[in-house]
Amino acid sequence: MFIDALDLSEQTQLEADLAIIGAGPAGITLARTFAGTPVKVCLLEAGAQAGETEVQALYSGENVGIDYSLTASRLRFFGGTSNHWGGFTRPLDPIDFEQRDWVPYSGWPFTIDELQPYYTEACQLVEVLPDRFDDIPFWEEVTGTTFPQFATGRMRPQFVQYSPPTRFSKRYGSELQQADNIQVVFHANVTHITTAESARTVTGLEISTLNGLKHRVKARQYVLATGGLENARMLLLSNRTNPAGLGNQHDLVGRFFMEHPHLGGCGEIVVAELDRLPKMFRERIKFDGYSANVAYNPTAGFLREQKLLNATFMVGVAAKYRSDTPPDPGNERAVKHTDMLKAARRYLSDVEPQDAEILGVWLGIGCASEQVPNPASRVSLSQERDRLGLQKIRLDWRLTQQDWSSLVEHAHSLALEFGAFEIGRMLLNLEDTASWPDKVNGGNHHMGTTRMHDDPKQGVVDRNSRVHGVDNLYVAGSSVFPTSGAANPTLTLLALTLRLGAHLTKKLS
Amino acid sequence: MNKPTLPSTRVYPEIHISRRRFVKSLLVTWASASSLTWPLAMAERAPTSADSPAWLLATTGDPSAASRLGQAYLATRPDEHDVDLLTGLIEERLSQSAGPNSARLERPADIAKALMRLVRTDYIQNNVINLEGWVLSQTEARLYALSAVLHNA
Repeated sequence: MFIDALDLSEQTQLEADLAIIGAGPAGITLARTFAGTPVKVCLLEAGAQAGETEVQALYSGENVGIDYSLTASRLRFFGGTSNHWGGFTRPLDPIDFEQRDWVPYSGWPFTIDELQPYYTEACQLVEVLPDRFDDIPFWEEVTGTTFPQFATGRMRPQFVQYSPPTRFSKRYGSELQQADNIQVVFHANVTHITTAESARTVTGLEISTLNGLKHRVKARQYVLATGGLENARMLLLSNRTNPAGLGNQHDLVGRFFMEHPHLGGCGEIVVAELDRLPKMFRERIKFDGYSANVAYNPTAGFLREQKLLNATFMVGVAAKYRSDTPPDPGNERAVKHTDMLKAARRYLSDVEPQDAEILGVWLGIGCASEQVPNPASRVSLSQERDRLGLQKIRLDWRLTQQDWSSLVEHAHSLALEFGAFEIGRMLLNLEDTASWPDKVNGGNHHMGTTRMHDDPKQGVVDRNSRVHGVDNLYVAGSSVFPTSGAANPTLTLLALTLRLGAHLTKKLS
Repeated sequence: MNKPTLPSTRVYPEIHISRRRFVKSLLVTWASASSLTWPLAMAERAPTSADSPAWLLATTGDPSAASRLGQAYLATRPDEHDVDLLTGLIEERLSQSAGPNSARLERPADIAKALMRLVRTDYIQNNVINLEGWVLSQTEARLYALSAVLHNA
């Protein structure tokens, strides 16, 4: 059922077996796990069923590192950030879970095998095909084309699928509304997680509304699912028992903030004969209600050999050059492109130039890369306060030279691959000797701030996503990722949430 | 990492270089050919006049795009501004890439194919240079340089 904290009388106490803070993809997914069971669930949403300006403003904060939008990169209403999700879906790679000696603080407490069954289920949640992310024969059959062979040993094709995208509130909201055992409470801002004196047990949640009402929630188990930035903030704010914050006995909460740096314009590829590059390698294809395209990703062997971080690239046609129209001499980019298309044509096309209406195209390149877990890249609390009187987030996002060099090497690999394909030539706009530009975009992927590790001195949560040292508090979402890989995090955070659901089902039964 | 192997999507003949002068003349033909002329067809009709670069330039079209890239390459490697040196370096790479049981290169078209294969091999083996931002096969860059030298001769 749906209720609104604004409609409750002052100092209402809600009781449940399981309290979930945050009704985004993780919170909704976890609540659904218990739909129709005897487990009584209270799902707390800070916003309403649609976005509200004054609620969204509670996400504002302070930036002291790389410029980053704290309000535009996430959404504070039912369905959370799934409401502006692009739908990119891909699991992490097996190597992402490994402890890699060239990646400080790397290594998950388990391998990808642990998540595989949950990945399959998560694919159904976001309405994509399971088990087709590396399946070249499947996609060749679907598209009726033979794919170019990756010859350098550096890269391989992987397949990104696109969720419709699933808006979790629209897709699953009515299911929650109809479940007798689930209460979804809107406008319920959790302001404090209260604990017993030892801080080993959570005893309740304090709720505030923007019109000044205060309520409480009491449950047996609690799950924090407010997103990769807010999860850390909530723990840091809950500092009455431990001044450093809940679960922060080793000063780890908020540290290791990771994004997937996206660098536009990292390179340009000119292609003389577009038909040599299967459509799926340059744009999204659709079939049977699904859609997907190829991502150019490094092989695990190359990552190991060169001690690199993970990355992913996608390309798309940006412009065409007609054979009968010379470029404007003032357009340096077009002149460079057309010169290369003419000079390299014999390597790139079987079509006689005089028979080709189009001299060639250029492909823009999108890339996202892994960054090393870095304790100095962190979320902490600002001295500024929001309308609820809570300290705002202070974000210090940092990237390293290792992150940069790794990305440059992968972009170089992409150039080699297109040369080896006999399909294109690439202009590389990155230099290894340079460093990150002042302006770097992220992917709205907030990871690492409550990292998972079996050792409480190295992680905030254990392998079951339980906060170290607290018996009944769990964290769901990408904040538990110890490393980020290069894949969009949604599928993995859903798989982890489903796994957490299985764990809590046992615990609550 | 294992040495990558050439995929079998395109079949190129193995080569053996037997006559340096023959190769050189074909390279000159290759490098100075217009991008508006399909190279294999061009190579088939080129050998008899291959020692006449000026004639080639006049009859095979405009190599200006390749020459511009070649000039950029020569600006970074002025020591290679020499037809004999460039052809020698390319020939050396061809010899290195030839298999032990390779057939003899007899036809210009075969040499043209061998050069294409060599350029591709350069990309596979990361034998590339950065030329004004372009990631280019070393052999390909030298072919452009050859075109530039001949174009400006």
